[in-house]
Amino acid sequence: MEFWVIVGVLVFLVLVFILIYNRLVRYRVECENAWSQIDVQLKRRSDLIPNLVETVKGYMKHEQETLVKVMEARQKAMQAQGFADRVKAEGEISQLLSRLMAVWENYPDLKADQNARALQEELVTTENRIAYARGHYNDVSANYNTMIAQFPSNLVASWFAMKPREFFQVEEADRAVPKVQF
Amino acid sequence: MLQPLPKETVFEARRRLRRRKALLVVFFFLSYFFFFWLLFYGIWVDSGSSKNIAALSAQTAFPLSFLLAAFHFFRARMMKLESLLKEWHAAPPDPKDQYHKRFLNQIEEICAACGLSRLEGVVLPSLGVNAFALEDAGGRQILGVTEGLLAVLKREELTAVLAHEAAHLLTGDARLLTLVMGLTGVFRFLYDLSDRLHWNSSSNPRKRAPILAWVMLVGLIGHGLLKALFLALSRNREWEADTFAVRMTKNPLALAGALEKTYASYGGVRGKTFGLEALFFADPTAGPRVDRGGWWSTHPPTEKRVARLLAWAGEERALVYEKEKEKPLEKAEPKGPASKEAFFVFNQEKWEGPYTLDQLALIGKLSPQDWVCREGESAVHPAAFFPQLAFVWTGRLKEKATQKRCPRCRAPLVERSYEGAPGLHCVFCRGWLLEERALQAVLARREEVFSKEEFEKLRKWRDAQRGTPWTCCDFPDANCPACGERMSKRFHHVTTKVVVDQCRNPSCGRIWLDGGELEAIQILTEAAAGEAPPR
Repeated sequence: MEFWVIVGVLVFLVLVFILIYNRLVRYRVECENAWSQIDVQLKRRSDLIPNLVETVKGYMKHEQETLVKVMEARQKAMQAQGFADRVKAEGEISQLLSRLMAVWENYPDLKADQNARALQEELVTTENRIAYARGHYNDVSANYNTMIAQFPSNLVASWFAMKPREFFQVEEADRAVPKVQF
Repeated sequence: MLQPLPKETVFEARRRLRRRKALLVVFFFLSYFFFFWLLFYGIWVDSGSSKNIAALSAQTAFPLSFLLAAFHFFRARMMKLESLLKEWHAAPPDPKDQYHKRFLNQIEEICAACGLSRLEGVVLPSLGVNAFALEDAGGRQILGVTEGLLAVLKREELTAVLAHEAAHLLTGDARLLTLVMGLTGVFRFLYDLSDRLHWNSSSNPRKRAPILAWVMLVGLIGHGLLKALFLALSRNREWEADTFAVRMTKNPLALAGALEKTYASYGGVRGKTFGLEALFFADPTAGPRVDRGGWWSTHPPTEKRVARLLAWAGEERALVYEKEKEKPLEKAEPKGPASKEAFFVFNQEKWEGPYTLDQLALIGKLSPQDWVCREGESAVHPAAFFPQLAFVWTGRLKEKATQKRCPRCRAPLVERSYEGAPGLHCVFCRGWLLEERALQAVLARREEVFSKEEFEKLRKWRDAQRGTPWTCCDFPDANCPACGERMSKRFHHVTTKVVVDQCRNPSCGRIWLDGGELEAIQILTEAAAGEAPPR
């Protein structure tokens, strides 16, 4: 009788172990999928940038410097090594593009160009997709990291050397308080 | 002005609503099983059985009710979306239409936010302002919107509505609701059946079987209670979807704006919606500014939803809508090179024109050395003197002439969009060739702004129209520029009396509108609709 109780407890523990492991693996795969979705959107933006620069450079006479910086930032992002460098480079592109979008309204000829309007819509949607994909990645990473930290799943995680994921965080430069200039 | 903190945050609200949903579902199924037990209790009592009736009823009722629930569950999963979409005349969005393209982009944004991969979009050709979400057993998930919704809502408001609808798909409550609706219908069916049998069994009330009266009573009360629980569940899921949309978009004001606009507008669609109100963003059977609310409604009161969203945004209602009213109306964007300017061209020893810039681009004969004279002036210059003419020979005009010819003046038609809808345009006679769907979309949109004088002029013209389409229109019958089939004349609608030509080919069906007719239809449709939806 005691033998069967022990067997029962062992079977139960094995089942719990398997369930926890499978759940951790599922969360890890979700994180990888979410990161690859961000990658897809970043690549899409990277492909749109040359078209953007070509379309607007004839209209935006006063933003030539910004356009050059956008192309340089794009180059930097394509050559970035490592997660942190990539995040920083893509953050720069986002800043520069949002500056361009802000001044778009000052060029009525640009607004009248149907191709430019379609391109603007593509850029707006790409930026939104990147933002939403980042949020989704952070959400699934939070689930994964929480499970790795909680007991008893932390035991299973340490056994298989599962490490927490880094969040996609906003760069300090984006959080700098803007100076008031009149 | 500082606003008081909301009673609960979005996250707290979401947790509370999920707990409430779990309680409602448990209570629903307990009630469902209880009423089945009650039904069989009466049947066993009527049969005169001497056994323990309560236990006997349980033994009979629970397996049967469980089987029935399983049947409805699988039936809900097998629900064919095709028949419903066909009923509502839903069609996939047209990527060439700017508004549809924006909708497609926003579906991709929702997929990015929620980790979904198989989300489809459909558009209903209705001027009503509404949206819905559907799912079938095969995992096919659909977000649908009406043309009216696409026309009326701003970008961020549409994102908020789509996020709200996506929440129903993510939580799986679309299927739960269909199951619950099915089970509620079981008692309605029992009541109707027993009612018919009861009244038809005998003309003498004393000879009618009492069991039928019992089934009627249980059916009536069971249906009533289960319906109330179903409606409470429906309202709860709407609240839950609101919290999801706010979490996703981080913009409660956008959802509040969307709710205000749908509340102020008609939300109906073509086809059957009775019994399916819970599937929609706004109740399609309620008219504009009709908020049924209360216990017997599928949707919570709009006022309360907007108030909660404004509390989360930390905004005061009056201030938000004052800011909206202060915004100047955006004028329609110019559609390309300025078309009002015109030039005379000296060609083959004579002056020709005046031609607008579009017409010059199509004629294509102009070179920088040709002599031109701007309309209204007397000075003659080489064409190169005017920078706006440069595109004629540099090919900067993005619109290309197609092979299709205008049925009136035989000029090549150009691809152009009108209020975001794609069409073919004749730059000489200003005619348009549009698909019927594109015309519906244009009528829902309000990019073009018309004056009161134009309204009055057209109203008088319409009221003076008498006769048939063939007597009202002087143009001869034409062939469709797209497929070559013959076109028939018809009135666009009894409210407009504008005569249009429509292709007889059922797979084409395109509509030709002569110069000014499209604007006339828009003006008269807006006049018939009364006040335009708020912007």
